[in-house]
Amino acid sequence: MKLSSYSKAIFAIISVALLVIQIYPLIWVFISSFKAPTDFSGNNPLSLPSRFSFENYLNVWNKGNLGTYFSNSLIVAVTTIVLVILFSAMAAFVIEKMRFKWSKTVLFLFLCGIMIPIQVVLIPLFIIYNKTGIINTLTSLILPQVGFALPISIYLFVSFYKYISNEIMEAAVMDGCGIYQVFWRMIFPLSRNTIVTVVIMNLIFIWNEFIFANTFIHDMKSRTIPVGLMDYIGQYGLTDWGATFAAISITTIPTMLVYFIFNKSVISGMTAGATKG
Amino acid sequence: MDNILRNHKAVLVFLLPAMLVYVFTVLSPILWSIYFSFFSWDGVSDMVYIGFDNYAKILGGDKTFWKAFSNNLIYVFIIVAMQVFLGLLVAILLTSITKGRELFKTLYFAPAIITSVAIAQLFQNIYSFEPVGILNYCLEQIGLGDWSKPWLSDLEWALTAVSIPEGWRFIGLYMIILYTALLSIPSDIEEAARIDGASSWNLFRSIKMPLIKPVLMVSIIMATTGALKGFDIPYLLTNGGPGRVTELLPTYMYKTAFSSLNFGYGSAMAVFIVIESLIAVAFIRRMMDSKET
Repeated sequence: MKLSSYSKAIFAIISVALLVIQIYPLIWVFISSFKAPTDFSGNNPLSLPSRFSFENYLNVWNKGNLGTYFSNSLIVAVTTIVLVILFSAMAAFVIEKMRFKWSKTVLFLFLCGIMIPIQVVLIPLFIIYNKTGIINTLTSLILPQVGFALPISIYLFVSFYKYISNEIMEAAVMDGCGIYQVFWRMIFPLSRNTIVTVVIMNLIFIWNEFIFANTFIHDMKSRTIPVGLMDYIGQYGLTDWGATFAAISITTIPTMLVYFIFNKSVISGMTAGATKG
Repeated sequence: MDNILRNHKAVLVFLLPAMLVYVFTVLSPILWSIYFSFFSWDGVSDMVYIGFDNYAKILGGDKTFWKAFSNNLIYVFIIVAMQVFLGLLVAILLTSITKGRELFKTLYFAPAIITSVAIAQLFQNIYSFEPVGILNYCLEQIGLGDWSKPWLSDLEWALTAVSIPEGWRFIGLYMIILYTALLSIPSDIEEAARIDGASSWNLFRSIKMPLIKPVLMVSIIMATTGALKGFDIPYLLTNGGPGRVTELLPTYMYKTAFSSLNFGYGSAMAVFIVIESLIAVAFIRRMMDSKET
């Protein structure tokens, strides 16, 4: 937009103010994690820590089970993502490249999943898990997260495969490749960028997932990070804010790192749902 | 070539893993929910078939359900307004600044990648009354100390207070979607309008708005369906309280199923939530289409 320098300055000020509202609360959590416990009962929540204290971090480290939660979250995230990538890349290959009568129907069936609210599957899965003994295991989290990640991932792979010409596949077949080799040696390695987008997008969703973890896991040993963040709420609902903020800071650092390194992929992945409209 | 691509065994090998997980965790639970909704069941004793009684209860007189429903509408309205309108506003502002757009985008998007549990805990602090939280402290500092209150337990304000965090965290997402749409408008259209003497406001209203309308519609649909599913933050901040002031359909459904162990009635509500989302999308599409003519 072409604007006078006066209105430009106003726009810049408003932009910065909006940015502060968006980002300051996150910085505040980080700063507050260094406050001493007495600082939290003070009258000024915006004050800086009276002294720079690592007490909260030590508390979190000694008392909590953050290590267990971290490894649980990691196991769930890695397993889910590997399965999502394999399953959706293969399914999309059938839908887009192979001569298969029902590919349109199958794609439609998968795309319906984008619209389905997670809540509708909670009761049936809870009952089935209880009957089969999957409840309280990490598998109970991995399965539905793979299921709900498939629609968007398949959509992304299908849109990428459209750009792969059939001629290069034909050339590979001439050279004696079978269907499995065409997929594994050629199509799958070619989709590197799509794989990165799907990985990053799902990594963030899975790392932050709360409803499944809160419903299916009651055992401390299988807890993941989001539910574990509520460990510092003591009796009578009093929260140890210092410890909570320290735990939030520690567990958000991996996501933040991934985000700042791959922010283009993160953003394009998370807005992927909109581009198909 | 054709033979290789028509290999039925390969189709099965490639498609089956995805299909199995998807059917087991997404499609079949929907059918199970519909099935359970015709029963009265606490998960332990025998299931009792009660026909449409659960639905009759919803339509008939469950006051809490309709309270949750109307709360949900307000909740959705606040969130869509924040995400789409503030998102659009920030997107427009962003097209006007010349330096540091990428950094601005990256930072503005940051709250979207943080877990809802952390967001809920952050806002618990912002709204806190005793010890004084950020919001009440700021009000005091600018001389509006009279307005300070325990936001999350205030009967009038609790619902708004619970809606804002969910709206806030995804403003960046819609800002980027709308910003991309604004950027894709060819600059010669803008220049031609300038030469014809259009003001910035006219340019925006008569040229840019119609051009980004499809994207705007998708954003509204995304924000609406997202908000209709809203669960984490209301559940964590107030869990429906005080009273039923912040009860939403998903939180009510969750409590009915997993606290009161009324799986049949909970399933009926879950089915209602699916239907409601589908109707909302159809409704928005129709509304936007009829405006066009």
